[in-house]
Amino acid sequence: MKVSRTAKATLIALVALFLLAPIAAQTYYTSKAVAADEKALAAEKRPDFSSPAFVDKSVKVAGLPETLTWYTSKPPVMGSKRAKSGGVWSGYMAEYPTTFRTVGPNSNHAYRSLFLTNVGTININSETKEWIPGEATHWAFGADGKTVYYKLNPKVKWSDGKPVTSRDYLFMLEFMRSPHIQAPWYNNYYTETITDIKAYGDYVIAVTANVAMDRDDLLYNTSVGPRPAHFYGGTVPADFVEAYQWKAEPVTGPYKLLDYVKGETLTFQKVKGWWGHDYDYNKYRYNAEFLEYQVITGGNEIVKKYFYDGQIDQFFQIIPTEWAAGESAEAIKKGWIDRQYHFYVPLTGVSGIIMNTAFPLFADKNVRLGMYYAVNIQKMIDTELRGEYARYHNIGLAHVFGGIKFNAEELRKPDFDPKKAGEYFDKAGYSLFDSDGIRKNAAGARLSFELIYSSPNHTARLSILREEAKKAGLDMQLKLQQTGIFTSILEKNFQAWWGAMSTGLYGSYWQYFHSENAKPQTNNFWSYANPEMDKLLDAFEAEPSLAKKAELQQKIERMVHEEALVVPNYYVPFTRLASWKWVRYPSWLGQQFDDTWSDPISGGYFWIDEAIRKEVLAAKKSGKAYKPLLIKDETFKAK
Amino acid sequence: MKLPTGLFRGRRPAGSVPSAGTDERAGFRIRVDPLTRARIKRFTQIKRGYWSFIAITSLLVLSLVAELFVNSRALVVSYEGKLYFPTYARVFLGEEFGLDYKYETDYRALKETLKANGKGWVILPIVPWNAYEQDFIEGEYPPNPPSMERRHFLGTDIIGRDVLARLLYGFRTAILFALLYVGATFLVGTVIGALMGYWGGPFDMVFQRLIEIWERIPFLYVVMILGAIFKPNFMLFVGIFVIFGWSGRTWAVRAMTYRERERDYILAARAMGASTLRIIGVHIVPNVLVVILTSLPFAVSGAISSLTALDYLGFGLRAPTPSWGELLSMGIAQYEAAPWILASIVTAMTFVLVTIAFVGEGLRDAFDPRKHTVYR
Repeated sequence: MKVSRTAKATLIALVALFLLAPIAAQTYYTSKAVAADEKALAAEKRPDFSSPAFVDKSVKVAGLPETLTWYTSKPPVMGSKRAKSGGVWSGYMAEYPTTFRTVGPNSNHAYRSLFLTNVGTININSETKEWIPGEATHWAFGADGKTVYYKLNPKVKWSDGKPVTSRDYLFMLEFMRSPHIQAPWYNNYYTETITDIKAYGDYVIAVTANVAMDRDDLLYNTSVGPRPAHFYGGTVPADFVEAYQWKAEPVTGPYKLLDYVKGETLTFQKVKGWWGHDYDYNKYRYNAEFLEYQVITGGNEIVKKYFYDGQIDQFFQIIPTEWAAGESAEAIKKGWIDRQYHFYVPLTGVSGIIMNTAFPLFADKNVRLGMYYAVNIQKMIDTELRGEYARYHNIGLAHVFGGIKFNAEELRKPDFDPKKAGEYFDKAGYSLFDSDGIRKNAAGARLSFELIYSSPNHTARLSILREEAKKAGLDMQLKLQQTGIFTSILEKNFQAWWGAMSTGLYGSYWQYFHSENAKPQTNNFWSYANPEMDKLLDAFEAEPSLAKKAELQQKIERMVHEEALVVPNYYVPFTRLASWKWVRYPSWLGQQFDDTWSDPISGGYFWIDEAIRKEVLAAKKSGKAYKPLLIKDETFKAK
Repeated sequence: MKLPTGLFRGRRPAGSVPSAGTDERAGFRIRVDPLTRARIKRFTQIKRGYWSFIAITSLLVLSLVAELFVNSRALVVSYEGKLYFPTYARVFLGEEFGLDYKYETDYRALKETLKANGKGWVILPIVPWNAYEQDFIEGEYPPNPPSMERRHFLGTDIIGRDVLARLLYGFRTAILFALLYVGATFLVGTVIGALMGYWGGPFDMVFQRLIEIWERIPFLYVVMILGAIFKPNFMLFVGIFVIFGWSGRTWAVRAMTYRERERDYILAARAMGASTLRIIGVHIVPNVLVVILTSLPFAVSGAISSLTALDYLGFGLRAPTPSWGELLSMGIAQYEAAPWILASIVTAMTFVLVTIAFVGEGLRDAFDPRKHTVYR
């Protein structure tokens, strides 16, 4: 039999491939529990998280008019069915809490939320921004447009086992209004905004706000939480601030403080038979039995060492260079540590170069328009930020509330173009060139300004903008001011600020752009005054309807775009981290507007697999390498 | 009577006749006497110190004309028959060389363009990069390793700037800073210290207390506060350092002056009616100068370290000024991804600081009073 040479070669190649393939596949080690869960992970599909509200006609409350329409919603299971309960999760705190109280002096610290793990009367769905039940199962609106009725869930219990009743809500109001808590902001809010709470039996309350609002706004403002009346003996103690300094209040949430070493650790334990698992959306969540927090000072580099040492379970790698550095970390290359990368739509406020129009250069609109073309944000993103952050074009993002989109999403900032920038600068009179290539006007004033910023790790980014701006004849002086920058900003004692402001559920632009605020100690950083803008802002403030508010907000955003008050920079469209392999996640990681999915209390979607921990630690000891695992969810990646 | 001697002696050598050009009434007399000559000779014989001195001086001179070696601007451009020397000239915009942009010409690109269209030629420095511009290579992210081809002999930093350029220009900043600082503090410190020692009494007392208080002011905080109020530029830094640095220089001079002023030759000078200025300038300072001179190199290396430390902490010169402190902090943060940054800066710092220390050591040996003294 004659076999052609090609056929022979093919045959040999096939045999070789057949023999080599299993060897190649076996270069990675795997172990039983890991293999089982990874198989399940591969098969897991992202569920539909939507939870539209509906009218529940079966609810009747004695003493309330029958005409009340009770709403509720039935959110689906949001956790992963792969989840296992139990185990210990280890995290860290950058500093120890200054108090365990959640109100009063020094209580607004970074770890306040650990002591206030309450579920919330009703909550917002992080995927769809729809209302979902919490401590209350149903809600209804009063005819006055100011009152909301909440039907409480009779199963809700404090973490010490006592039931939550309407009495705890009445006590909350008393508590928040008390001078003993030494919290003027709460005193004011619960007097001025929340004017009354009434109880109808043990499980129905009515919360009244000061003015008539749109329904979603009303729910947002009136969904107040309870306070444990029994814990305080029914009255607010006069020495509350001192007496409760290191006492953790009972909560309605899944975790309660178990133990602590002052200055060093906090340990939380899962509440036994937690009532919240009754709701589908809480199933397969809050899986870890213990949460251990230790204080690690010294910044990110130190935290990183603890992480790779296995002393803490998760480590954020948001910054592009940090993520890139992760590629070469041994524990990640050998698959003992997995990585999670989730795109979401972050709620973003004003962010970028904020130009103070009180500074003569920026009083000229042509200069500000020229800035759009002279500041090369895209190059900064493509290079220093490795193309990972998203370009920002507006002053608000993810302002979605009550099913209404508030942002003028069509706005786009132009690309870097020194010629076009030059045209605007020419119009502004800066058409001559100084000996160093910087533009100047006939009077000899240079096209130069000082940009203040507060974070040393932005220096590299800004240096790119500075070099690029030279091409447009613009001299951007960088001034790092690590302390007291906000004082300069509020005093309007700056020329341009590389900064960002946080934002609420929708924009609150009155504080930023109204002429009434064009004075020191306000948030009108631009010192901007424009009667047309004032008209829009006043109308926005006076408007109760969310839909009309949204239209006005879009108009304001367009005007800010045309007036070129901000050169927006970027936003971080993802959360990503590295986690030791025993921290397991759902395949979809998080939801559309959610960046706290990796947190044990705010999200609680992960679980600790102690069997995997044993396997991984053994593999690590013997140097065996798993296949590196990256879970990436790009469902909400910006196009 | 045997008189003491100093670097610039306040006494005419026995038997010599004043030369025509020397004014006996001048504050200082710059005339190298045999003893000084002997000391200089001794210094040149201490090979390590001497060669270190040569090395650091040449490095200083080199850094002063760094633009000729490490710079994005061309040394010479010949365009349409005309010669241009952009190095120390004004900025030439792209359109002046027939390019379609109105910003500083990219001479590296111009070189290629002119080669292609034959309209002229360009001579670039050895390292055709300045300390500010970023070199981004398509598909790669800085820091980029050293590359002969792109002429980044020491690689680039995290945003693509040439490490060698930043090192050299950073050195210039640091050494000029150190020299200015040391010069100014020694001048002020010596004058005040000598006056304290010579006058003594209430003047001495007041200044001693003043200096004690002055030296307790936390320097770092002052730098932070002033840096927030003013633009933290080079001269401001020299100013702040001098204001807080002079007081430390007074003590040694004061003590030496105390000792000297009781000597017979001072008594003689005073008896002959010499003014305070003359006594201090002509008799005392030359005799205490040895102390100052031998501590000078150490003060220089101290100043370089301080500026580097401040930059490292982020309180230094305004970004993106090239600075050693910034390179050091970047190098430490990136030592795994970009070892060439840390290696470059550490080598450079070690070299410069050790060299200066060798110079100081050599000077100390050369001026050792046990080697050349009239007191035997």
